[in-house]
Amino acid sequence: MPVPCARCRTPLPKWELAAPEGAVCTVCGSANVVKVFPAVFAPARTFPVEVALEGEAACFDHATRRAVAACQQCGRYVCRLCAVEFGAATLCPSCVASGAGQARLANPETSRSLFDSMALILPLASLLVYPFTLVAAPASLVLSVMKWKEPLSLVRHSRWRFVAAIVISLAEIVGWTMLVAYFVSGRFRGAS
Amino acid sequence: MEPGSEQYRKLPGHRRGILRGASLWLGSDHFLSVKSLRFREEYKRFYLRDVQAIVVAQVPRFHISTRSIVIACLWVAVFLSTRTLRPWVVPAMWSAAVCLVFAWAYISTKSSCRCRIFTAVSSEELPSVYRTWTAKKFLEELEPRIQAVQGVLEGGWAEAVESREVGPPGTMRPIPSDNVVIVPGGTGVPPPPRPVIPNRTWVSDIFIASLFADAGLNLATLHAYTNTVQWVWYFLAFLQVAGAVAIFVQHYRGAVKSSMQKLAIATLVAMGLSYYFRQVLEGISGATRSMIPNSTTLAGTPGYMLVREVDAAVSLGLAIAGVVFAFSRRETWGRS
Repeated sequence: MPVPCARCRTPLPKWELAAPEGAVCTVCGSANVVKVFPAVFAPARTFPVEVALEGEAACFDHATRRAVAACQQCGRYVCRLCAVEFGAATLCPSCVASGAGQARLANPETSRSLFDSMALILPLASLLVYPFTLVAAPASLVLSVMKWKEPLSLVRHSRWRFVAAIVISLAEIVGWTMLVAYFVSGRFRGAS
Repeated sequence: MEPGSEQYRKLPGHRRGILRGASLWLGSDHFLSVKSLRFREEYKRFYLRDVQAIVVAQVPRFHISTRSIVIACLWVAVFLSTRTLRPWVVPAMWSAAVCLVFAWAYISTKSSCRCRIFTAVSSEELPSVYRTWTAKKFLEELEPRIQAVQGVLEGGWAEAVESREVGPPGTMRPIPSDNVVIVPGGTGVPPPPRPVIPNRTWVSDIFIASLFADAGLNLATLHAYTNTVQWVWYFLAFLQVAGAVAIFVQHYRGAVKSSMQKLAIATLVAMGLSYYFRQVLEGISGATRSMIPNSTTLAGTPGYMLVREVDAAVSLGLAIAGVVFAFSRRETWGRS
C-alpha cells in the first residue's frame, strides 16, 4: 500500500486506490483524490562503486573511488557519485553548493528578500503610530533608492511597490516639512 | 538559462494570509511553489518529469485569508455608516454577518482540502491548494502537462503500484492498530500505541466557561452597564488570560491538543483588539483621565455599544468553537 493519505500519511489500501470515485483513508476517513504518474515506476538510479586502482586518478572527496571527470569550475576530480551533470558541464558538489562561476546556473535560488514590500510597508505601518513616520518615511525612501536594482521576486517583476513607497514616503516627508514650517513661521509671527 | 530569467505563469491556488502566503507558478519544465513570509519568499521547484503522485485529501481548513479580513472591514464600515439611517439596518447587518460566518464555516469544513505532492526525494504539502475547487482546477491544469512529459499510466496501476513506494523513504506513517478497519496482508507486528492527547482539561473547561460568561455578561448588560459589571468583566478578562497561559503550558507539556492552544491564541488576539478599540474610543471621547474609566462615561462613548456587541459575539463564537474542540472526535467523512 504505497500511496499515502494526504492528511494522515498512512498508506491507502489498493482497493480504495482502484475505486474510480476516490480513495477513502481507512485510518482518518478522509476522501482522497489520487493522481499517480509513470515516474513512480522509474527504476532507481544506482551508481556502481568503482575502486581506484594503483596509478588511477581518485575522487577528491572519496580517495578510494575512481574519478570519472574533472569539475569544469575548479578542476577537482569527481567520482560517479559526486559528479553533478548540468547540461553539458560536470561540476563538483562544492562548486554547486557555493554557486561559483559556471556552477551559478546549476544552483537555483531557494529564497529572496522582498525589499519592495519592506519599503512599502514601512511608511504605511508607521501611520498607525504617526510620529514613527518621521523615521520610517526617510528609511523607506533610502531603501527604495538603494535596492531599486536588486532582483525582486522570481515570479513578479513589477516595481510598483518601490514607486508607491517612494510616493508615500515623499508625501509624508513633505507633510512633516510643512508642519515644521507652519510651527516655525507661527512662532516667528508670535515673536514679532 | 540565466537564474531569474525564467517566465512563470500563475497556476490556480493562492493562499493569502496576514503574515504568510503561498502560490504556485508554472515554468517551462517545472512548477514553482512559492511560500511568502511577508518580506521574504521561499521557492521549491518540482520538475514535471520527477512528480510521482499528487494526492488531495478532503479535510477542514479554517483559514482566515486577507480577503475575509477585507470583507469584515467592509462590513464594519457599512455598519457604522448606515446603522442610524433605518431601524431595520442593524438586524439586517447582523443577519448578513451571521450568514457570512456560516458560509465561511461551511466552506472551511466541507470544501477544504490538503494537497500533497510526491517525488522520489520529497513529500511536500502545497499550502496554496486548500479548497476543493482550487484543487480540481490545479489538477486539471497540471495533470496533462505532467502526462505530456512522462506519458500516461495504463489501467491497473493500483495493483502495480503496490510493489513501489511513493515519495522518499520514511514518508508514510505506520497504520495505528486501534484505528484500522480492514488491513489485509498486514505485517502482523502491531506498531507501538500512540500517546493519546486529551481534547480538554479542567483548565480548558474553566477557560471556555469564562468565554461563555463573558458573552452572556456583555449581551445581558448591553443597556445597563454599571461599575459592578465592569469589575466582573475585568475579572473574566483576567481569568481568560490566566486560562490561555495555562493552556499554553499544558499544550507544551502534551496535556492538551493544539486546537485548544489555537483557541487560546485567538482569544488573546480578540481581547487585544477589543482592548485597543476601547482605548481608542476612550481617547476619542477624552472625557476621563482616570486609570480605570467610569462606566457611565464609557457607556456614553459613541461606538462603545458596538464594541461590546462585537465583543460579545466574538466571545460567544470562541466559546462555541471551544466546546466543539473539547468534544470533537476524529473526523470521518464518507465518500462524497
